[in-house]
Amino acid sequence: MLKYPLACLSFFLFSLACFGQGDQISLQFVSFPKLGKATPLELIVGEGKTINVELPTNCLSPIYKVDRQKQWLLGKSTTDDEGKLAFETYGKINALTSSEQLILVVRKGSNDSDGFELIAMSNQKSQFGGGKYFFMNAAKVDIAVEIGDKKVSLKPRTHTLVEPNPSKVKGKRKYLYTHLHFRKGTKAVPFYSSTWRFSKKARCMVFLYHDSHTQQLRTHTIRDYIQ
Amino acid sequence: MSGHWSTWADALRHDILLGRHGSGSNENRAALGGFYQELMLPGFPGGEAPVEFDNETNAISGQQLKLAGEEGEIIALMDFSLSIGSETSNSASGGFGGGRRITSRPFLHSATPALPFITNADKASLYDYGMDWQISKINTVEDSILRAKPNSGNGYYGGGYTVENGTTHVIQNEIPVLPPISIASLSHAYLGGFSMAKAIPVGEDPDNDTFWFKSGPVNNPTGVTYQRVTASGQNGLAPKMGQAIGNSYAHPNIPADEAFTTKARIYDLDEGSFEVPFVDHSYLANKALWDEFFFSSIAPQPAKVPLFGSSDRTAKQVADDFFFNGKSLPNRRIQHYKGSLNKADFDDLFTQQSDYTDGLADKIAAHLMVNGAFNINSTSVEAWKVFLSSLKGKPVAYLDGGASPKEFVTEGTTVNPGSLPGAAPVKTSEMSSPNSPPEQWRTGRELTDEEVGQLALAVVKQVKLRGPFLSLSDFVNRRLDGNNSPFALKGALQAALDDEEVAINASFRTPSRMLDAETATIPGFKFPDAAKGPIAYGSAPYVDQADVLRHFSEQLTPRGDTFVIRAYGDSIDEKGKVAARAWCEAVVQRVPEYSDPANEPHQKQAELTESNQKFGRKIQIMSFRWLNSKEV
Repeated sequence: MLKYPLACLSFFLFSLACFGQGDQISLQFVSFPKLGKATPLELIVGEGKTINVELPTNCLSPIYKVDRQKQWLLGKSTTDDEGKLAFETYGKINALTSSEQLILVVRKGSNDSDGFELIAMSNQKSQFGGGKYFFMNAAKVDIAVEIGDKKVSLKPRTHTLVEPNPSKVKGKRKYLYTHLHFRKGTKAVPFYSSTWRFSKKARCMVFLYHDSHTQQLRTHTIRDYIQ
Repeated sequence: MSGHWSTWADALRHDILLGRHGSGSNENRAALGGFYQELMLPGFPGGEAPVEFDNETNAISGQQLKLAGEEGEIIALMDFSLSIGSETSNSASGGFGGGRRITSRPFLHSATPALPFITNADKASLYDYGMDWQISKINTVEDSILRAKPNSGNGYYGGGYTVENGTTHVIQNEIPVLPPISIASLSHAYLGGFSMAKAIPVGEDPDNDTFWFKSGPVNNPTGVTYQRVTASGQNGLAPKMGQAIGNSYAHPNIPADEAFTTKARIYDLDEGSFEVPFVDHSYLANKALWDEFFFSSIAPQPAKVPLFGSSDRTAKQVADDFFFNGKSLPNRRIQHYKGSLNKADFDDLFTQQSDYTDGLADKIAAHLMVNGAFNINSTSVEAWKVFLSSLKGKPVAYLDGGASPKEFVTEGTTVNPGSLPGAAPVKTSEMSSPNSPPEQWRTGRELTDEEVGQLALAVVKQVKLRGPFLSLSDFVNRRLDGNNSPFALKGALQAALDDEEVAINASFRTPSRMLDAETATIPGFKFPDAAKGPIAYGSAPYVDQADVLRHFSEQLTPRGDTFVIRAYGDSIDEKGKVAARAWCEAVVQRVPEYSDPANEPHQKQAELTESNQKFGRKIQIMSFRWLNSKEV
């Protein structure tokens, strides 16, 4: 785990602050795997400055308006052995240039101190807006996705963004036929099939993972309705 | 926060009948709370704790709920599912819906055509009800257990609740479209139930060793008896089960050496626990039916059943044509034996159709014989192979979604779970997974010669181990032997079908398709070994004993009525030397008439004259010839 004494970080953070001075970024967070109680963490938002950010697992966090940074660092302020303030970094990612960013926080273990992998995505509606589906394969096997008219395959620890067209339109309602398969040797074994509602006012994040308790391959879906 | 147990149980109560109640005393409330808790626990993830709702930081915002509502959509918070059990293994993919929470044999002991009254929540009792309930917090309806095939919207059942193992069309029971020709055809009848009835013994007849129960809802005795089972399996003797007749699987809640027992049920907390009869329906029904009854196939052939080729004959016309016009019966093995029967007597006999004793049903058997009966005590592998291959290459009628049957000509030997399958038969080699091909859940199987040979060998092994069988029910049933688990677990033919050397059901013996090893350790099981083995006993793709028997059980006999008798005699001269030796051979057949005509053929031993009790039925010499020494 990286520990940066705050004093040592001053130049680095100063430069970051300079990088985005006056430039506000809208940040949202979501974390995975799902937890009943996801504890907030600290985000470095400037020289010696942190804010608490929530890392919900079943919806997107509130929007945080922060100064543009070169990197997003999540962690926890601590006091080191000599009594100096330090920042324990649990995860970091280079910031995007987009003014609206969504940070996906993927836990590496059951405790925050096990660290996080961060994935930064543009959160602008033109990039990840209504009708789009973000798939992340957090399972141990290859996954193939058929959704509407789109087909994608995902190796473990990879993700993709899909914009499918509806399979069926009935009046105002639109539907997506969705099939998920996993690889078993040379075969694609179907394990999920259903009909999803399609809406241009909602975007989806679909996490595919093996349940740690049952070892079952399963889905965790977040549907975010856009105002 | 957590949901209160009764809140969770309310979800269950809306869908099935929780058969436990009582007055509103604090003691009863506490007891009900405990009952609900015990009942609901298996449905939660891990079977241990209720679902924890998220805290505020991880809740779905009201704004999101509002926006979803404006779109006419629903955001899911919790999913409660109540399903009829399926074969699905606990390791199946597809989320919490992929697995099974409650141990059962959903196509046999736990078959649930009608909703059960759940009065006991222990794991051993939950085996009897056959329902599977699952509770989980979910985030969107997309994560729901409710999986349906896109476009059609059909759900999955059979091999599982999801597309991974399940299929959208499963035939578990058939409503007969044809009159039965075999006792095993009755396997689809529901013999038992699990009603709210409280069994109260109201009379005993020690002479006949019978007892009767009058049942009615507690505190509201109506005098209504619940002994009769509805077509869907309500009421009647516990437990509710399917595929009883012709099968012989032991029930884990009945001791190995007993055919019936009692089980404690609590329906009314104020009245406390009471014992109800709990029976091995297979054993008792087989015992009652196989040695006393058979199906002649003299039955109506209505024109609206296309399989009869628009025959449009009444049962009487079918019999007339059979006895007097040279036409065969649907079961062509049945031959007529008219004896002294003439047309006038025959017509008179058919006026006695509704006389259940000393009527047509009793008397017609005196005029019927089986051509080529097969002795179940045969230890000839070749003979069994030929017998079991009787349907080899025969066309099979089946329905394929339409109203008109189609015909499929097989190369192998077909075994069907019903009289009219829902698809062409499937070969064992084609069954690559629980749902591939999906047709396996609505049709029978086409066995290869090699598989039939394996089965014949395994049957002979069982005949040698268990025989001689003194009656058909002895062959069909398991043995009530607490000291011999293999004999007590299942009958001879089923043991042969489940033999490790027989490939027919081999795919069901993989770990994911068997009851877990821990199942047999569930406290309360009275015959734990019966809780081992494949989950799919009784299902369409699993070849059960009844599936084999339904095709030709009327041919089986524990003892033939035709005998070849050889005799020889010596002619000895005055010196004691053999002057001449002769050999002869007679084929004799036992016929229905008694040697003393004072009794009619259908009368039973106790009703016979002394002479008939001693000498029995007549023996007719069918052929006689002298043999030469080379033939001996």
